[in-house]
Amino acid sequence: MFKGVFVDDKIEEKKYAELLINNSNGLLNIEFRQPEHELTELADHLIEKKFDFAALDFRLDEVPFKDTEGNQQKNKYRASALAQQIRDRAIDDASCDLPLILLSQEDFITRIFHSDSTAEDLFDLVISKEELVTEKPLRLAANRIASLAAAYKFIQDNFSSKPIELKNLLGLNPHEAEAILNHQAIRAIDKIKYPHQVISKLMALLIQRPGILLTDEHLLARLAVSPDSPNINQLKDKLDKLGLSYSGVLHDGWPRWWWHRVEAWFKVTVRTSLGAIAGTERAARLGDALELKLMPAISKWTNSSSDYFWVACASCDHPTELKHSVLGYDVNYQPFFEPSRICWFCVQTGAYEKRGLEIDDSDRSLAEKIKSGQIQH
Amino acid sequence: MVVPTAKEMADALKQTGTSLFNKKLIDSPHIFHGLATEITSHGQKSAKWAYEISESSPIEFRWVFNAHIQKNIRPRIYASISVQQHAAGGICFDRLDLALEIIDDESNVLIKHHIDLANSPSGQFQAGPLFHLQFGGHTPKNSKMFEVPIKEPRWLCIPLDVVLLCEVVVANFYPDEWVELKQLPSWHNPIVTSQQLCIVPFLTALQNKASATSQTLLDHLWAESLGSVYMAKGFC
Repeated sequence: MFKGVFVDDKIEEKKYAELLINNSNGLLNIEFRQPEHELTELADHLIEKKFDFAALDFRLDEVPFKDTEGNQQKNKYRASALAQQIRDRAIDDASCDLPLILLSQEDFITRIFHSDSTAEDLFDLVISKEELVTEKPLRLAANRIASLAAAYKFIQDNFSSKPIELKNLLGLNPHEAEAILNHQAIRAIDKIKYPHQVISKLMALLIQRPGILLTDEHLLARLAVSPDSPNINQLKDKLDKLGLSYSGVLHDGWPRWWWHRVEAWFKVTVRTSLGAIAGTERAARLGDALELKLMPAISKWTNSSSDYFWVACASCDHPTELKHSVLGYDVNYQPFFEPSRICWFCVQTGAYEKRGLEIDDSDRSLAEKIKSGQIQH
Repeated sequence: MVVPTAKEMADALKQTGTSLFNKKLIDSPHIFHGLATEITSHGQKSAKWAYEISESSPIEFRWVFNAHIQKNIRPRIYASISVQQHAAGGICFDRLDLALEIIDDESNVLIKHHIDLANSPSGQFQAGPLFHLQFGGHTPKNSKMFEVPIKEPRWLCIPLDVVLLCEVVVANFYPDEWVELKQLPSWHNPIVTSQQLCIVPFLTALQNKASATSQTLLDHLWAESLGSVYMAKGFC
């Protein structure tokens, strides 16, 4: 069990700590605390109590409180200042480092927090309180907090007195580790000392972007299996038992698949590469190999399964083919990232704009032809 | 003759991808970096390695305006390559299947060229030079293209790999960028690595046979006569 703290100046918000505990399957125990201290005093207190994680509401400066002399006080700091204090202490002593979670109102997160990239970098995870109303997002949030706490502990227990070894951190065999470490940005993680920096890099380079690891949605696209197919859970179970899933730190909160393992397994088992065969045949041969009935993906543009599916559309998450998708604009870049793609269907309907996505300039004229109807189904 | 190791070939592919990306000739070098992972995931020093660029995920170059047809066109590359070094020292492509396709901005395939190692599906090599250039060839389903009704002729051709084919594409379709790229060691070096792999052994074999009077060069390099020897020993 991981012991954490939730800091919020409104007493009624204590319910979020209780909700997370109740949906954590016994993994989390969370104290509630109002920020009735000076900034450094509160940071000291949180570190001294050796919590496994700390969740902070963004606004800690709204509710007045009485200080020890009975005077009415109001904090002048917010979560980002408290988080910065805690991160500064971790630089002095890495054993103090702990996962920081921003647990706040959606409005603050989008309007204030996301416009401050310095503050964004301080937190491992951002959770909107508005999402924590049903069981599924509550379980997901509790799982991710526990997964972060476990990852920090793993790094502190294993690498406090020696350099980080990515092979162990990611659960790779030596040959695989060599291949993955050929990517310069990933190799740089070995030189990092502090758990929060390691986690931040793993998130940015491996977990949050498809490329070396794939999400479930991207896996289904590569396998040309429809998200509405029967036996999706059985498919994932079987692939997991074959050792194709990611088992390194953070895997409990962010399930992922090693692309190089999936690709190699398919090639050996089906005797052809995944991308060389069209959707209908790909899903059928996968189903035969695993003895599962699977429904092939259907292109939202051609309404056919005989396309060459490859990525999940960044807008609708549906398997799509490169041929019928445009490049999404991306400010972050690493050479091993799978570029973000938006399917022609979402371009035509404009659905991608509602997801806050932009089309890359290189495909803008093509997108205009789709929107104007010059290119049709 | 030494086959580039898996690591050397992986580095050559990554360098090529990065150079193309830096000149904005491709949107991302991720395919090249993915190939590097694929090649080295069985060991960095191995002299036996393979990679594939499939129909689902080709290397796509930037759109470029073609004045002749008054349309934007885009080159795409597909590949399936497997290499090993025999005990006798000969380099051998177990598999070489390169395709260059040019599409227009309405997804019509305008041209498709293949550079292949002759197939031997049942141990019998197909008629044609062991390494050949062919027009048309296999077309994926749903691809809007003119069909080339016959597959012949197969032209005698030097073997190329992805790095060398990229150079062909850049030189032909992006001449301004080629002028700049040619100045850079990071562009030049991987091409030299690939030349060592593909062209040098082929030219040596060619030279050895070019002055023979008993057999013509084409006859000597015809897959039905040379294929089985090549697959057993490579070009020594």
